Amino acid sequence: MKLHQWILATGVALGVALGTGAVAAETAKPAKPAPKDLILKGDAKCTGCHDESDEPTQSMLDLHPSVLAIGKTRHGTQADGRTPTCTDCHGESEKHLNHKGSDKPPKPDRWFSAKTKTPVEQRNAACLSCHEDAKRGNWKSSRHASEDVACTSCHQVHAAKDKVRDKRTQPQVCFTCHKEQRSQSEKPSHHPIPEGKMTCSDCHNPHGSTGPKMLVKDSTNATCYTCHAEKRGPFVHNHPAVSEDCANCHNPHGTVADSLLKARPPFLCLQCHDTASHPGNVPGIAPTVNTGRTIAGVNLANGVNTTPTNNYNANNSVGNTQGRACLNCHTEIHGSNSPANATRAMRFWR
Amino acid sequence: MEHIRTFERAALAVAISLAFPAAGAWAEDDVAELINPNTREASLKLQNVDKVNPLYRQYYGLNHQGVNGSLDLDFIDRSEGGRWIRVEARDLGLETQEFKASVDQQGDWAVKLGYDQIPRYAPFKVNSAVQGVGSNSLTLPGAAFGTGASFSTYDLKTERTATSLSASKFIANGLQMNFGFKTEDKKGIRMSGSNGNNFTAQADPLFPGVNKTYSAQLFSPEPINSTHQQMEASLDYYSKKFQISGGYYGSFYKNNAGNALFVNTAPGGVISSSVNPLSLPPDNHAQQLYVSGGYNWTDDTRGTLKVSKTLAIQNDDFIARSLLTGGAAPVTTRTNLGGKVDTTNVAAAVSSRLTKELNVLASWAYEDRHDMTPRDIYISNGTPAGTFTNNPESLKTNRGKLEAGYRLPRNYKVTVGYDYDEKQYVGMADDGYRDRMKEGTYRLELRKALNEVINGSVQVAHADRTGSAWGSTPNAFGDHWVAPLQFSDRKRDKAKLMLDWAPADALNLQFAFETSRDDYESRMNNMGLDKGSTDLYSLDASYRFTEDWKANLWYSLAFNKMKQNERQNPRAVNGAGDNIQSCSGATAGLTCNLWTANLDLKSEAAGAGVQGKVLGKVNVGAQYLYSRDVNKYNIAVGPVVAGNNANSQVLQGAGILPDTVYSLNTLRLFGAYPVSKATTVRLDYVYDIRKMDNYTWSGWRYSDGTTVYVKPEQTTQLLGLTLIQAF
Repeated sequence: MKLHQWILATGVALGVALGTGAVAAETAKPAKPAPKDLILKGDAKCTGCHDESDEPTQSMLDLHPSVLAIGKTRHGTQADGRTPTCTDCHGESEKHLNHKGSDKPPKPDRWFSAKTKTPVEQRNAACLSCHEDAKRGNWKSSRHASEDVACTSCHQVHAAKDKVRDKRTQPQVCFTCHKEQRSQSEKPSHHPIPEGKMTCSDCHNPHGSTGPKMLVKDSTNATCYTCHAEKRGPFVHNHPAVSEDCANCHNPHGTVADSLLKARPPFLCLQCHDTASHPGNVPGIAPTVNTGRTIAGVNLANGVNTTPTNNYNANNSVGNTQGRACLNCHTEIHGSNSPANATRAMRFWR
Repeated sequence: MEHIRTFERAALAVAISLAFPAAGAWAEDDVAELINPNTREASLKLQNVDKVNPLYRQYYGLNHQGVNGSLDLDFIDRSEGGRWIRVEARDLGLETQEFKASVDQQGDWAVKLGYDQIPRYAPFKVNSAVQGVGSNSLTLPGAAFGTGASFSTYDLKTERTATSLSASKFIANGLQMNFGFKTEDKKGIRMSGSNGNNFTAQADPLFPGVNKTYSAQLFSPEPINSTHQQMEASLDYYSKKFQISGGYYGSFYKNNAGNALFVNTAPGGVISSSVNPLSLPPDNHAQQLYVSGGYNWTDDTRGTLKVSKTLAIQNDDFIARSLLTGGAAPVTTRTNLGGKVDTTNVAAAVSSRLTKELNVLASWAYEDRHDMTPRDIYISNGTPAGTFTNNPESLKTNRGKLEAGYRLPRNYKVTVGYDYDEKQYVGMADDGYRDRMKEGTYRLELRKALNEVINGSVQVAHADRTGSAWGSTPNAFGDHWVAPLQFSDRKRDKAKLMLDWAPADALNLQFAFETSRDDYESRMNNMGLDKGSTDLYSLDASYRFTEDWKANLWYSLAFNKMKQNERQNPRAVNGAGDNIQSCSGATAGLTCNLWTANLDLKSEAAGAGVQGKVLGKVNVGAQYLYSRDVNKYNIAVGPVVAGNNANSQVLQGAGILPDTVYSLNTLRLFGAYPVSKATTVRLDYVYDIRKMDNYTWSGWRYSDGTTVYVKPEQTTQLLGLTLIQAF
């Protein structure tokens, strides 16, 4: 007997010896044992087919790698008595379950993929039956609900990591619809959203709120103060535009102007403020501006204004436009708490 | 012979399969892997940064050229009994480090601990001779422009470090109590400036041989050192029929940097502050109590209500009287403001699905922000002469919404809505304000959904804002006034189109168009913002080639335009002639000029990504991001509108502003190779170019000589090696 024949014979013998028990045990079982629950109570009637080898077709890739991944989530924690089972969300789905044959079965009573025919209210009702709590109690009056957004438009239920619940990946989900904000978040002045240190839900409650724009607090300012409490005041000299609404001047999603300002000063300030005195100076920059001569050619040093010309200061075009522009002097623009007997305090200089 | 080989193979297969009834076992392993959340993983990251560039590191916190080491941790353990233990750490060792740990018994109790660090670097470098940067006592250099003084380079930076603790516990069926506490320190230096007294006859290095007078602009960085503590506690009850929640929220801000920033003159120095000391943000706190709830009358009809009361207090000590001397000595005898703002919020909503097709919604939110701060005279030397008090201002807001949605055949849905927004102001200054503003918005939306190939929506809205009579109007064309934008009559039209098209299972296309037009009316003398518009076009595409390979591509183009009407007055140029403010005055030789500014912003942004697997198990991906903003400032100086002669005071060269351009190109590549089931090696490469062409600081120099430098082109390359080890 050659070597490979010895190996073969030994292998067969070993296999038979080790395997006999298993085969015997198999033959002792009923011919078709009922499938066991894999994760949830009563899930066997679903996981009998939707198992670890779900076919990787395009339609099933939404649930990649498998519907069973729900087992890794809180929905898959059996020890919690509140945990639902498949049919709590998908309905009893008798036609789907009883389908025989090799063709595609009818869809379950409620299904959640992108091309679902299940009305959005029914899909969301499946979630709200458990989740209409303090954090999500305003869903039905929210803009998202009005716009037929489904819970599963944003959430992945059958996934170990739900993209929208991770602050690094959440913006990608929100930007699916909010295109303008996607573009704004990359502007030079932005909250640290692209860097993954902040996310949309730090300010917004996508499940609805009593605040404007679904903000987490009851007003824009109350929301901003959760991180910028130094602006809350009240101050001796309040800047009304500030205390009314931060969004009067700022666009929190990102801007070209510094400090998330909707436009750069002096243009932003001149949208509200008068042009009397120096604010109305036509903006200009150094060294383009000749601080000693007017457009009419009058030499200011010898002209009607006998004060020698200034260089870059608040009283000419350059000082109004460069550096921090209006804020070069109006430093305390969010409000001044100085008790000084000085109009400059009132005008946020000190 | 061939038969023998076939037999051998078959026999071998039988033998192996008998020996290892693996199919079932492997399946069980697969299932276990799919349903078991338990994770023990550590990632050691080494990132080599070739240059520390201000724009790139703004929030990334990679602040060292060369290798930056960090550690990520992921630990999840779920017991059979539903006890979760989680530990997650990111960037340990970097300035962006964060850490979270939690233990919870699902459905019963939970305790969570968190730590998060966020740096923020100013995107420029400062070169200054001002001493004491970072403290609340600055000293200016002695000579104008810091001549002869020692200059230092500063990276201005602030950093937040937040620690949080939260806990929750179900104390009965459906009844949960929650508690949360967060304390955040913010430290660093913030860019700021202040005004200085005029100084004369100083030689200007930029204009050799010419001595000039300067109204000084001073570099006065603000020291940041604050602690913000927030507390939340609530008791929530949930049942299918109704939910109710009552709670407390407290926010306590303390500025450890003090209440004043001193800008000191150097002994014998010629530059001095005109506003010394400056005030710093005061300590303050706000506390809120609230009750909110919802009631489901039926499966289709729900009502919600929230009532909250917030009291905000600001009674931080004023800057000591002894430090405010001369004409600035306080008039008030108060030692603090005694600031108190009492805010009441009520919000209610009812939504109902009246029929299978018809949904209705009505909501209303009311806010009464009552500023109860006592009024006192703070200024008695005003110009023009007069006394001025502090300005507590109260505001009442009503926001309402009525909406109906009707489902039409063929999966169409039409929604009509009306939004109402009203504001009532109390305590505003007399001039240039309106007591009441209201805005009504009509909305119409048509949506087609549930289609296998195309989904989409069209929304249009028209809003009309108006208000009560303006306060006292200026005495003459050119006098001081304020006409805030939010008090302006405005007509706003908006439209939005969204289209989702899935021509094939693997391909998804999305097109979006948004546009809005604002027209501001009835402003004082038609000054200020006149018109605004926005147009946005966006296209997204995603394609899944195979189970392993997918790609996406997107592009956005946006135009934002603003048109403003302004006017330069006679006083504008040199600061002389304080009384020359009116264009219709009789001052000889001075005139007013109208000018307009058209601010046009064009923004392009694009992204592309591809991700897949090569050699069967190596995950690879590439991502490219592009963004470019071009802001044009088209200024047109109009004719003289009033005055006694044609001597315009507009300076030569004023009105010429170069475009500001910001662009970003980032390429990211990665590859992750699983060396074994437990070990993966990942390689990352980032190539990032940011260009900033902005006149903000270009050629600008503070009177103390401080300059600010923004590097116009910043290229950063990063090469990262990560070892991911599962345990």
